[in-house]
Amino acid sequence: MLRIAELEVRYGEAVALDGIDLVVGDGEVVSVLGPSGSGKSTLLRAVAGLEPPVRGRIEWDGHDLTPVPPHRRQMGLMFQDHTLFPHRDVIANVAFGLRMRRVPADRAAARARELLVLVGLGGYEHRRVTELSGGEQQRVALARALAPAPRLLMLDEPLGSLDRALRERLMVELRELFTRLGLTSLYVTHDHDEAFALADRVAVMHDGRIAQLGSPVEVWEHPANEFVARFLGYNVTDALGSGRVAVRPDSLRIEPDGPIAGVVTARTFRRDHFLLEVKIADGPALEVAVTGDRIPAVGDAVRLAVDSDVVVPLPP
Amino acid sequence: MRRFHALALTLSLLSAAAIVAGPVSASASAPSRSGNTTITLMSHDSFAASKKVMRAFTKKTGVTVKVLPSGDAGAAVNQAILTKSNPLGDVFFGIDNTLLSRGLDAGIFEPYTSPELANISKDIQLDPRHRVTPIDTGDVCVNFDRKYFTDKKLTVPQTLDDLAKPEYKGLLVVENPATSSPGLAFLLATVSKFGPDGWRAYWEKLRDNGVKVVDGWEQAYNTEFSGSAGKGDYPLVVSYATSPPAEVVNADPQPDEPPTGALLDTCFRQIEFAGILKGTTHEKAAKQFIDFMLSEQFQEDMPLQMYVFPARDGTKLPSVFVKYAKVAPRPFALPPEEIAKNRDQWIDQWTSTVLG
Amino acid sequence: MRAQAATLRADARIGRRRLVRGLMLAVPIAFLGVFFVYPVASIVGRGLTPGGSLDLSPLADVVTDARFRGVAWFTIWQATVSAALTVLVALPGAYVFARYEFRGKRLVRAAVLVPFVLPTVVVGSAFLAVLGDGGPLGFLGLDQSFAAILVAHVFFNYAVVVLVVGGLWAHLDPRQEDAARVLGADRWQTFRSVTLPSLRPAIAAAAAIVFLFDFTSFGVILILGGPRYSTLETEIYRQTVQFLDLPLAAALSIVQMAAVVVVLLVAGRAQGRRAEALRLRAVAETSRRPRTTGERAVVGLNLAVMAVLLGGPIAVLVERSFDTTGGYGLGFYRALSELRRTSTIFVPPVEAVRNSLVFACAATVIALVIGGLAAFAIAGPHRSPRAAGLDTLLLLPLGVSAVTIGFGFLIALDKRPFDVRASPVLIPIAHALVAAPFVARVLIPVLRSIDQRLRDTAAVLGASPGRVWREIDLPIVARALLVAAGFAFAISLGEFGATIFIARPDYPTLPVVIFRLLRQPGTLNFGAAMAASVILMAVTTLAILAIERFRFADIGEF
Repeated sequence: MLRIAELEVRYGEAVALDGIDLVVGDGEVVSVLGPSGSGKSTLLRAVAGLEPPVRGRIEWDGHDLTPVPPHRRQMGLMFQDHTLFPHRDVIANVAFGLRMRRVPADRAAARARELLVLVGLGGYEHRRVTELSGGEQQRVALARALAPAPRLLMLDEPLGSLDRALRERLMVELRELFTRLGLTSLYVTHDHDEAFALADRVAVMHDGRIAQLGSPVEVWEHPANEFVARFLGYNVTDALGSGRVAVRPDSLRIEPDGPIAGVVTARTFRRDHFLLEVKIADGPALEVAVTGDRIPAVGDAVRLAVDSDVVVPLPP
Repeated sequence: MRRFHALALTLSLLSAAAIVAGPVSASASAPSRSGNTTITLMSHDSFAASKKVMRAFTKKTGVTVKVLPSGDAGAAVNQAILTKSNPLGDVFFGIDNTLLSRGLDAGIFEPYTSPELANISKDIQLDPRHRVTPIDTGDVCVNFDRKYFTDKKLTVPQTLDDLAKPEYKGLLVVENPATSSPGLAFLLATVSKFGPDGWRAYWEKLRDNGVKVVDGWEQAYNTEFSGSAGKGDYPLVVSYATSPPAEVVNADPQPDEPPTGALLDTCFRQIEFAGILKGTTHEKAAKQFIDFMLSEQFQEDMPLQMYVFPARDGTKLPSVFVKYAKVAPRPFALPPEEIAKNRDQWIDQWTSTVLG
Repeated sequence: MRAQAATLRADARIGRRRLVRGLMLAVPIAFLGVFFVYPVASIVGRGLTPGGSLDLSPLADVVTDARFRGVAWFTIWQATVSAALTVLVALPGAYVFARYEFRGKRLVRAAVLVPFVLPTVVVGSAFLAVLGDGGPLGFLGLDQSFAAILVAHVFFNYAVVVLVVGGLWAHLDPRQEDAARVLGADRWQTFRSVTLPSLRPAIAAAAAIVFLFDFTSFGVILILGGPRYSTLETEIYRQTVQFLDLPLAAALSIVQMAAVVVVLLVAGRAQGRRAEALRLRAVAETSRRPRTTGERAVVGLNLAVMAVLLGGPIAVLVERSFDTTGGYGLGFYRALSELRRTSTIFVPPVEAVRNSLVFACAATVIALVIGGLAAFAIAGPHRSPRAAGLDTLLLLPLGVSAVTIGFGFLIALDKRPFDVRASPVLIPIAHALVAAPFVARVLIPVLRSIDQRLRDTAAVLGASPGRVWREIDLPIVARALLVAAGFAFAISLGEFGATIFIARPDYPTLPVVIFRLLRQPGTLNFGAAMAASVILMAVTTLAILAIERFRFADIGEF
């Protein structure tokens, strides 16, 4: 079990992590979600021991990790652009961690081969890493991180540089892997879909602090504050009459006699729906997801309605 | 890959072995079993003697001589002066009359009157206090390429004045006196002949006659001179009176006649001295070596080793010297003190006259 | 309490890291301090305190004298033009070595270093044979000219640019260039916007070294320029070695050092300090045989340039070594072991080769250690921010007159029992003084280009800091390390450094043998000197080939 308490990390004068409290239980996958600059990567680096904290503690099963150097923390870390060792082939990359732990060469090779099969790259042992495609490289990086059976696996935007189709497929495979291996994992991403698909709990980060922590459903359906709401794509508005609230674009409907009047100022095709930007009288424009045959065009005047039970009140 | 490992490994082992065994010193003669003194002879880079002769010295006195080559003559003298508070050697060889005053004034030598001086002509014992001992003489003269003059049916020039004549235009190469010892000697010859007021006019004539100036003797003789290995374009070069016999000895097969000759009316007399460096802790051994350098054995050996004339009267010369090395009857000379006083100024004036 | 203990242990970790960093910096600084700063300060100090008290008037004289100002300006200018020309001519050569495979490539790469080791006096005669009035190019009138100086400088330093820049270039991922091409950039634009920025640190390093070698160039100025050309180096030589005018020499040395520092600082600022981490690839992956006619032409053209520029003078020397009076034969080579056999001045060729190799091995080891530690302190993972200025200062030994350093040795390193002036140990140390900064400068661009995250990944996977260095840094810089080792070896074989002008402990090496032979008249002596030069060339080539083959344990070629 990983316990992070009051963790503060600075880069010179700038505060990168401003008092993080987080617990990750055994076998749990926690997604760390947030925009760039929010401190997600710094959090991983601090847990790995690559950034010294100014204040706070990182504990594993009750033992304080602060004085432990990175190479003794027994954690796994996977970067966005994988950073495979260019001067070694695939199997040497995967077996690296085992070699560092002085596992005998034949056993290390056997385990490395096992993992390559696990990630679907059986037979790739002696390929040069620079010849692999993006997806293959990610899998090698994953196999490498998993080989020494780390007690905590940290992934920093591992699917970031891949195309959508590949990403979706790998997401599913990762989810299966996590469940099958019972991995404890911290998964950093800026992509909501990834975060919600893979995690048991989601932590949304903003300016070095955790803005909200909860299960994917909880966070998705009840954003706790304005930042989280906006980040998840909610409209944040006062115009619905019940104070400041968040409402999803697909919770707004176009109704001929709806209470809110507006004019369509933009229309974007989003595969299974259209996203309209509607300018309203008092407040910022609202985004509305519309399906059906008759989609209003830019310039049309429309009236919007919403169900009160899908409106999320926000703290003042 | 394995093969190359083996190669690399072998080479590394070999290098390691070589380093451990150490580099091989050339000049440490046979390890002396009898005596245990080693003295260091600080000299210019051209010191040479037969190994047999040096071994004989060690056998006779128990003293081993280690040679420390220190650049050319000027560099060596200057280094001796620079390190006089903590000298690099026990004996110094190679200070010549153009540098003598500088060395004496710096006070780097310990006076020693060798008994062997009885065999040396008084003319060349330039220091009455015997702080330095003359060991050999050599003349710096203009050398000429016989074949060139024969082929072109040109009369070989004889005097310094001849060199400025139009029929020898563009045929002479000289060395820069600022950087070359024979170059300086040639300049001093002209000063001696034409006097301190007239030598510049002479050099102007040479300059107008297309004299080529290069930095050092090696370049002048080996590259520009047509009479030697370089097969250059200039049949007249400032070199030594002993260069012609050297062309005979150091050729294969040895010709009957040297391909070159020396113009004896253009020569400047150089006398080379040795001295005991002040501060030596091996004074007795140093004295023994000075005596030895004046001995018949060493003096007889010198001509073919360093291409100089022995200072000791009556020394038997090698036949190639007898046949081909002519001694200038009236070489030019200047007193060492005058050289020391005016040398830098003369060089500056020469530079602005010829190169200006 | 536990929190305090934890912080203490964390601080101990940081403290240990600082200690290691400090040690890495201390060793090169100590070496330079003892063998460079101290001797130079001694001789310059002696020059500026002639009567016991400080007298800076020579400095004022030098700065105000128009002639010396002219000399200083010419020195800077000819070195800049020479360096620029060398980079221009050699950059295509670097490209060919980096990107193409061709038969005999290993041999050519080793042979390219041969000019570097040859004594100027030997090369000078070969050049003059071609450029001199009687030679085939005599009509150009280049004898004793500035152009001859330039050509000779390019000849000697071509290898530096080709190997240093080519070394980093070979690691660059060609796919970045491909990406640019696909986006519509033509070859020139691709080069300028993609390749050049990545190469800039290596080009800057190579250019700086070439500039410094040209700045302190001595033999080339004297022999190929002739007595009309004067640089700070030749002036210092004259004043120190010939006239023993120490005050003037001291003033000139100070001017020389100041000029070097200023030029290096300006160049350093122009280049920009931070090098990006580069995506590096193994050398074998980035080069291939030329395919199109255009590519073959490029390779062919550059090989032709090398053959003419580098091979030409060398061919003249080789030819001369066989051109005996009785026709072509091995007479001169035989003469090497026979000429003056009974004299103390005789050196058996095997002994000369052995001495050369022994000194070269020792000098290379010293240079790799000193230069390597400095490079890691400046650009390695635990780099000290204060060390950033060190890499400019580290080049200073290359820019200071060898005469000043040599004479400095004589008066500084004489305190018993550390009187090394007549000890053979001085020779490899003097060589290492030139080679170590070289090594550091070659390693630094490659070290800087290593992505820190590679090291982080290795650390998290269980590699201790020492292990990270061995697993990540070392294999990636291995190739640069070998290039640096090759240069250090060549520098020693060619007897660069302070001992060539001064009292030199009598352990004759090949260059010493060559000088001795050239000092005596006679065709045999000259021919034997050519033969010895050819042997020096062969020894160099073989040694470099052997070094290139060197591999560390199980790490494959990167």
